[in-house]
Amino acid sequence: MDDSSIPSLLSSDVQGNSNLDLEDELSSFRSQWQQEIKSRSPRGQPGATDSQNDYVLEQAKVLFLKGSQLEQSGRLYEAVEFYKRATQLVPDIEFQVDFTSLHGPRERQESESSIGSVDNEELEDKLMEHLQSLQLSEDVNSRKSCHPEYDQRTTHISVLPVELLNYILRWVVSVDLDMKSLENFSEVCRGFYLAARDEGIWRSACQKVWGSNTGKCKKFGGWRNMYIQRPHLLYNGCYISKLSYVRPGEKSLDNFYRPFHVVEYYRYVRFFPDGAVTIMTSPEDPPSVLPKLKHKYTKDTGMLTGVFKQIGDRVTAVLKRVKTKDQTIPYYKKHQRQRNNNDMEMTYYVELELSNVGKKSFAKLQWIDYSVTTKYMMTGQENTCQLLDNKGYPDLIFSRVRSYTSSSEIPLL
Amino acid sequence: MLKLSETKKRNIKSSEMPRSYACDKAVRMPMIKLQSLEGEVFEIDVEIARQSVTIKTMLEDLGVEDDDEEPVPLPNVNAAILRKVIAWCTYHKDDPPPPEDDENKEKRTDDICSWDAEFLKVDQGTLFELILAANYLDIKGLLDVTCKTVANMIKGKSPEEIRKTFNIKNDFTPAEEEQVRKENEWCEEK
Repeated sequence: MDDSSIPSLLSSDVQGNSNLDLEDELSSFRSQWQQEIKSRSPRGQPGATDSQNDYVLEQAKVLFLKGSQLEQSGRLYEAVEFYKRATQLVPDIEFQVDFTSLHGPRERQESESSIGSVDNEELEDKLMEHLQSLQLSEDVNSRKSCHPEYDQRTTHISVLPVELLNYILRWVVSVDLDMKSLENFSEVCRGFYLAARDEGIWRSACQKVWGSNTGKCKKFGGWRNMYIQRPHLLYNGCYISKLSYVRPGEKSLDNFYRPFHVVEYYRYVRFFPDGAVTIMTSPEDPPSVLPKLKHKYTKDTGMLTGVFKQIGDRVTAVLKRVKTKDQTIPYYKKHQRQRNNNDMEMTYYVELELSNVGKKSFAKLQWIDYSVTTKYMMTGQENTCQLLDNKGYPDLIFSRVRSYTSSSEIPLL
Repeated sequence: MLKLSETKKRNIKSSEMPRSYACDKAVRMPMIKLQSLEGEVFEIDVEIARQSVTIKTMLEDLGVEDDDEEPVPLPNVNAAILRKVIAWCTYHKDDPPPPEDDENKEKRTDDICSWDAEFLKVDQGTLFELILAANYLDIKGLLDVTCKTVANMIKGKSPEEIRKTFNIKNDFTPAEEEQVRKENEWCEEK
């Protein structure tokens, strides 16, 4: 047989047996392919070693926790990045973070707290993370925001899920921005601390204060930090300054006595979170005046009301005198008086500078400018008069008034 | 030209007449049956029940049949609480919907109305259960008024007072408590 025929023979042989051979080839190929797939099985399957398994799981958990922290601080894009990386490593990391026992870190935390030698510096930055990891280590179903001290038969507040607690906290803070109550709440127990540090509430508070100027919280490191560090006016009380001057009294007939009076009076400046401001000058003591400033719409003599704007540590306000109805004047005279009132319109322009008093932030206001513009309606003429002088305008110091935040009206949403 | 009394009668009749009824059936308000956790059934006016967005959505999705004998099961609400919720909804059935306008919201200085204040004079446990029920049934007005009540119980209190009010265990370690106190220093008054 010549060589040339061999291939043909072979080929005919192959062709003749081609079906059988093909099938053999196919089946051998199939089994090869399956083996390859098995050996290329995803990490975490029985193929990988246990230590590799754990390491990857740990990495994924760390990434996932980092992602959830970023999400809480409002940095959603970065959070999604971390979530993606975590799920790429372990697809169901979301469930594993909750349920598998974080033996490594949990034991570490527990041993730290049991020894009681947790470094305070470590705690300072990481209290939030520390408490969050403690919370995550519990089973989802038994995770409660707080625990009863004594057994009680009635329903305990711990039945409320975190979302409802959050809604209640938004009522606690309310549009009056009663952050002090929120901070008190955070000192009650671990679960309440985490609820009160929810960045969502602080973000709403920042937006209430700075509105369109809020910007991003990145450079402050969180919304709560922004609220604490960035200069803003305090709303749950009043800025007060006390002045006194000496007024000579009535001389007695023989000029022997020259009595004089020491007149004390107060200037109150009250800011409201929605942009309104009230300034009141009154000789009465704070306890009797402060209740009058609780609401925006009370009218009293000596009151100026208006709106303010705050940029950085400067506050500018424009106010007008409050018109009080005088009911003792008979009708015809009232008519005349109203006409007189309409003759001129007085607008007050105020500029103040916000600063700290010792440890109390944003508790002092200094007068920068105070002028009144009088516009005469008949002639259209305007007169501006500068009221600020060296002596008559001491700094205004903030003092909290409990009654302003004693009950909430509208939640902070 | 109809007399005034006749038009009035007509108007009353047409509003009482549910649309799904044929004219020969007896005229009555459409009712719905709600079943509590323990199995107790409460029959109430559909209009009152619709204050619960959960029930309203369910009625719209499933379609209500007035002769339906099947009660709607509410396994998350026990009978006592359901009774109270129904009482609240019955009293507030004619309430106007809350204003959407922010301006109006700011001006509103009315507190909880006196009927609600009386209604909420209950022990804390009932209050929390009402919150859960209002949340489950999605009744905004009831949820708001109950949460506002709890919020007012929290406001102005020191941490220890809050613990006493709600019977809460302090599970901070001394180090943690110190750290939290330091973090809250910014709003302390000296």
